[in-house]
Amino acid sequence: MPPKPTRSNDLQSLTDIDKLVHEPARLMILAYLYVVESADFIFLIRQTDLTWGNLSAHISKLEAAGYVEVTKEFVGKKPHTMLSLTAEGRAAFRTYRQNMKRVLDDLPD
Amino acid sequence: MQTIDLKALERRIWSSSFEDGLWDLFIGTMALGFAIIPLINDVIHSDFWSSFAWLPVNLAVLLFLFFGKRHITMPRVGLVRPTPQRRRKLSVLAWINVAVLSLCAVGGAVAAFGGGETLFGIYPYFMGLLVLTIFSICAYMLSVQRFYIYGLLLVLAPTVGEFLWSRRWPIVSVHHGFPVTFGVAASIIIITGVVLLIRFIQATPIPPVESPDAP
Repeated sequence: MPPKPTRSNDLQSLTDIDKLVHEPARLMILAYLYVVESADFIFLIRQTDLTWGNLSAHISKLEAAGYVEVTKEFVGKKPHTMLSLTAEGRAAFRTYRQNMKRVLDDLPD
Repeated sequence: MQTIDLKALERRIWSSSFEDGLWDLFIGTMALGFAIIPLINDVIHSDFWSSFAWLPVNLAVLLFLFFGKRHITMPRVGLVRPTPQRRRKLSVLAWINVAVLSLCAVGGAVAAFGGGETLFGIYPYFMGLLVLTIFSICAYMLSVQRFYIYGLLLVLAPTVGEFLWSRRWPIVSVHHGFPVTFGVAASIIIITGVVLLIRFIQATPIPPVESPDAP
């Protein structure tokens, strides 16, 4: 389950931030998948500039956490791996955004 | 640290699907029809059949668009599916286009078969205005700025053609100047498409086959 939005406005609430989402490469992957229904590996590689190996490793972690769903399908006669956010993944990303926004908005200029 | 602008991210993803120039080639060829069809009419002397004579070219470009997206664009930039909200937005856009094009067709039929000289003279401006409306809506909803220019080019083509023809300029002495004005507008759009396609192919090589779908 993704962590709940933080309640207090002090920096202590940073500890509630989901570290799985907070990693920059994974955050990027989640952001791209959040604004589409599904996408394939090539799309994410083009958008994120990650290598195949790197992307694969991050996707495996997100899949293990239940945030990303990996599905095999056919486009024409070729097999195609599509990636999409699960409901849990969407909730985790939303919560992360709310938490970060709250924490950063409360900091003085 | 900045917040993640998801709307901008989404706009960038979808506007990037027009970077391959394939839609430009399709739009340009459609526009070129308005320049070529009157010339075909000079040869076969039938408004109806001269319109049909351009149809195979449109069909060929439509097939090029379809297969180009599948065999040129997709292996380079991957496959991405829009969210249901985005799909709804796109279907609204498609229905607006169908409605405006139907209005164009009905207007054309009325002007050609029962409108008299006045209505027939007004029709190119009316059509140009509708085309500008379509392109402006597409440019806005798809975040593709050059579609505003295409709309403007396609509204200027009949307007300038009519204007110059009414002043009996020698270069536009036939068919209300459409072969020249639409020819110029279509050429600009087609050349833009070709340049975009070449740049896209050069700048976006097919990534090495390491994907989970590799044979």
